[in-house]
Amino acid sequence: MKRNRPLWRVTVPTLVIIACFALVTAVSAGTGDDNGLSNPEVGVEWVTEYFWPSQNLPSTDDCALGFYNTLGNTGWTQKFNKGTGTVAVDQWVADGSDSSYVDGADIVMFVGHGANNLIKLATDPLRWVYFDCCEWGDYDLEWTLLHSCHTTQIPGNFKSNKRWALNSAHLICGFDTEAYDYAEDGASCAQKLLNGYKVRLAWYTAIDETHSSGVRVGIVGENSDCGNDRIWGEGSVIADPVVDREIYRWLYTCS
Amino acid sequence: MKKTYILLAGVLVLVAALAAYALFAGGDGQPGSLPAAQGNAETEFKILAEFPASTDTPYPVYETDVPAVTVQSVEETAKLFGMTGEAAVCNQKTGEIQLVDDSKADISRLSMYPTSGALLYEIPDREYPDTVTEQPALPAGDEAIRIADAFLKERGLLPPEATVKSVEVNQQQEVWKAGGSEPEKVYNITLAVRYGRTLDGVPVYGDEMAVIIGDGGEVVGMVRCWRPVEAAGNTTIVSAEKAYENLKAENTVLPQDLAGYDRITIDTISVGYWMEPRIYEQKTVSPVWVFSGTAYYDGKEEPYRNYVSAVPQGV
Repeated sequence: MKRNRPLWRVTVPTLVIIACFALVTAVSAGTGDDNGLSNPEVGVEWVTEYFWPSQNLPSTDDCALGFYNTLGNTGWTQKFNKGTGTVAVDQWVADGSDSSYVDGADIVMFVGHGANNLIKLATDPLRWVYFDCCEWGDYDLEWTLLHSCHTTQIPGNFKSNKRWALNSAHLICGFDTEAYDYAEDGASCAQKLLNGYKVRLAWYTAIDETHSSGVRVGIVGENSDCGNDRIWGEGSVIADPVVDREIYRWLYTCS
Repeated sequence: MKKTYILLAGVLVLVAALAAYALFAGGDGQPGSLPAAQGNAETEFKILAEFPASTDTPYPVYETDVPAVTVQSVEETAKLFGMTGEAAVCNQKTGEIQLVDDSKADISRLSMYPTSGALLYEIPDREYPDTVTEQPALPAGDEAIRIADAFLKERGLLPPEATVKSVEVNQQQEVWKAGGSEPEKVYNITLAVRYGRTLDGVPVYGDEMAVIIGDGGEVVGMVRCWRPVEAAGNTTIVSAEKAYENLKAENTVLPQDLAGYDRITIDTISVGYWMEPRIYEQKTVSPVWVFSGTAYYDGKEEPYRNYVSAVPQGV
């Protein structure tokens, strides 16, 4: 005679498994988190040479490398440094190899031209990284610094269409207005991060050292708690946030 | 005959395709047939203002006289803000010297820059709160100016030549929804009372002097990069037309912008003085041509201002 198993015997373990999975997902959405505290990783990409109609940016390499080396000199693993000619869309997008590059590091800086829905790895539109092709944070990335004009002008663009760039990443630091090609910003920001500044404040104050009034910095976060983050080893870092339909933004006007 | 036309059309298409490829061949930084961009020459500039008449009138040149900034002087200055602690260099590259006072409930920081004498005071947790869920109580404009003036005067930090330039929102926090094009909530977090000055009646740009006021009218920050200057002779200035040519070629005081504007209209042309950002040393203060107007990009617009050296042989 066939016996039916009581319903609770099936449903309770299932619910427990689902609950555990949900909990793990909520605490650490990045599947590729490789312990940022003991092995923090930094990556940079920069473009100095553009072609008509964009203008060249002669200091982007110094800016990015200043950031890369300042963190690298204190023990951060230097995961990738890609410049003009070696940057590629594939390194940024979800359908590419982002988990080995941008989403494979804890903090990433890009220095070059940009707009409110993309960054430009070259003048050729085929080499533009559209935010709605990216999913940052589902593997490892916590903080993205986009030293490019207008990149955080419309936060809604980080969660639009089929892919959400703000996909468990904590903060995306950029500009609401235009930005300028200052070589010193990268090293200065990195030094402030190492001095224990919150990520938000390090970006604000580093940019404010060079940019004059009228320039507005914008920082986008998954939620307001992300604004409390310091980098690994310099203070508290929140657990990877649960991704929902809300976006938080901080705006700061330079002096 | 028909075959010949088809063949000819095919060749033309091929040539067009190769030409298009050559146009973008430099996309990765590999040289294409077109020259690399130089300056902002491809941005379309349009002058809506008349060029000021050329003049032989000499303009004063100034030399800066920045007081020495040392660990001791930072610790002395900290007392003006009721702060105690030990100052130390916190950035070898910029030379920034910082004192952090953690003896009170809220940490306060004071930074000074030897290159410019700039001073930066902040109470980070109050100036830059992580989260705001209701609108902070910020003072009205006149009251903000009164608070800022009093704060500076009490500390002897208000130069006699300083005048209030603006009172504006300095920080905002916003809540957006996925795919949204406008914020759902906006909170004004702090106000900045900004000061400016003139030299011999000519406006100075680049100076930083602001008092930051937060919730309840409390002063939560201050910045002062205000190099003292002394007269050091006179100079003639180049014509505005010549300066405009330099503007279009991006031979400007500011470095390249990262925007790639489609179009820039200039509606005001004037003479001013430019002060470098606080991390740079600046010995001489010379006149500049100031071009102000509107920049257009991707169907949007924003205020535009840039500076070109007005000194002959200057950049």
